[in-house]
Amino acid sequence: MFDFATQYTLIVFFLMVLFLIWRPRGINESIPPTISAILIFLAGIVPLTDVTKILGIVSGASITILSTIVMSIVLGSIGFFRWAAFNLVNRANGSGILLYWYIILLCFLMTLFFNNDGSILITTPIIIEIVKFLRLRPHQQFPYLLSGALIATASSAPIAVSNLANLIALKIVGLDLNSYVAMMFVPSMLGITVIALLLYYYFRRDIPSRIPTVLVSYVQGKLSVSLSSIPNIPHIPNHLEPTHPVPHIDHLRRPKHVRHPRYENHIGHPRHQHSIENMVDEPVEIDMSMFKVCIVLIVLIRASLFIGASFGIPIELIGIFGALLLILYRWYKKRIGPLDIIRKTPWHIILFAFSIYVVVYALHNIGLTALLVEHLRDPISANYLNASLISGGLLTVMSNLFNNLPSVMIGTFTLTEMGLNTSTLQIAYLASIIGSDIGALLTPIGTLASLIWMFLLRENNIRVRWVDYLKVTIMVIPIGLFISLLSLYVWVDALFF
Amino acid sequence: MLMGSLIIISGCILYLLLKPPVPQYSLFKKEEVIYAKDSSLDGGVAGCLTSQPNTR
Repeated sequence: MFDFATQYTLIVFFLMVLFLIWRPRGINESIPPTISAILIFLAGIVPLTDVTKILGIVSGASITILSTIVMSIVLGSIGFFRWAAFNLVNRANGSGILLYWYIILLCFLMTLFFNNDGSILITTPIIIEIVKFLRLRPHQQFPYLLSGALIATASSAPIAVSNLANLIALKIVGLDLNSYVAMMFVPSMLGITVIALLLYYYFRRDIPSRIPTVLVSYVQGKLSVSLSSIPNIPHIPNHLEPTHPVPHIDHLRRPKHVRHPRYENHIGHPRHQHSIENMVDEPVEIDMSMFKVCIVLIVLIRASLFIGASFGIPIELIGIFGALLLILYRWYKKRIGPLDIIRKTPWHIILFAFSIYVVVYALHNIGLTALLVEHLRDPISANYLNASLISGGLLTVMSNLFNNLPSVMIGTFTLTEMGLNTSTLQIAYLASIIGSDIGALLTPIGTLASLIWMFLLRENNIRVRWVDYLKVTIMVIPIGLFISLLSLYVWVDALFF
Repeated sequence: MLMGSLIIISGCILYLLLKPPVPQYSLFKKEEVIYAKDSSLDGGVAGCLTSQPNTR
């Protein structure tokens, strides 16, 4: 029935998916696709010309990700993550629930301002700083970490530049950046809001209701912070003398082994007990002058991405220039060279992206696209609702099987070869973007941002198993995805077509 | 224009979210205000904060 190339490719592909999901001995996610890509290349199913084409596609995405990684590493070395973490905790004023929503807001805004990879690279270290210095237990850390990551990645749907996958076929389908926003912002925001609410509902028992506050001082040009062990300590108001009674000093210097008396007889759900046992004063110094310069540089680099793009300058070049500028500035001020960047970069994710592209290209070469066009043309063309749901569903399935970047490539080939009218093509394309940005969150391999997130957690000795991830996403993502796709149909049909 | 506006707005809200809640620890303020030390609480909460008068 199938020729050798088809059978061989399908077997390799299914084995790859099996090993990706099974992950025996916790093997790295990049190993199954890498081996599969080698097998496919050796069999000649993806010739060298296609490999060169893939290199060109992946290199652009890789350079952009790498320059964002450099920015993130430089931010970390100047203390930005700690500064942000302390300010967020301070702003939450002792409420774990308020902190949770601040983190959600932070992740959403970071993605809008940067992109989803940048957001993950910046917000994840901030959240890690928060959960670690608050001494939260693993079941208390998880809501903050996972919710932040899911919202950061899902928030790449509202505006086109937040995700590389969004831009792949924008012009081909007759959209530009502004028309994309006009059509996508409301539907994707509805989906993101639903996801955020569902996540809060899911984690409501695990989020600690009370957390400590942070004491901040500024001495001799450096910002200094220390953890207050008293959750109920009132905020020192903005004048010279506190108006509220200040707790006894013993509480601040309690030895590590002695629990705070407030929590020794805590009554309530065990999950609500706070884990503070080590109340240690942890002063951290941040050089504010260097800090300010780096923040200004990063904002200017971000702005120049847009200005440069409007003049036809490739964003990769601007990204490289910006990254070099930051490295050189950090080298000049702190005498830290670029070697730590090479060490901290998750090179295996780039290998994963390249390898999975090779595998998916092989599927395209054996006729996957043609098969999809043949079977889906009529249902998608029938009406806008079908176009939205089927296209979004297709990209969701493909993204979770083999990552959203190559999936959007296949999805775009499929849609453009169907011969759809412009309006159906546009709504189907936007729905496929929702599928690749939001639907792809079902599994950790759906987006590169999720893989980066898991890498950052591993680097900080925080282990998140696939099953822990899946238990949450299976409850939350399908509903959010459906709401987004349905509202895309309603919004676009009512206002644009 | 629309997209640019959204990005600028998100940047502004980000700044407001991440800046220290207490104004005297503002990122852009030249003179930082610190609290007067209360000798009765040496080593305690207020001891973590040092102050200078707002007016010079």
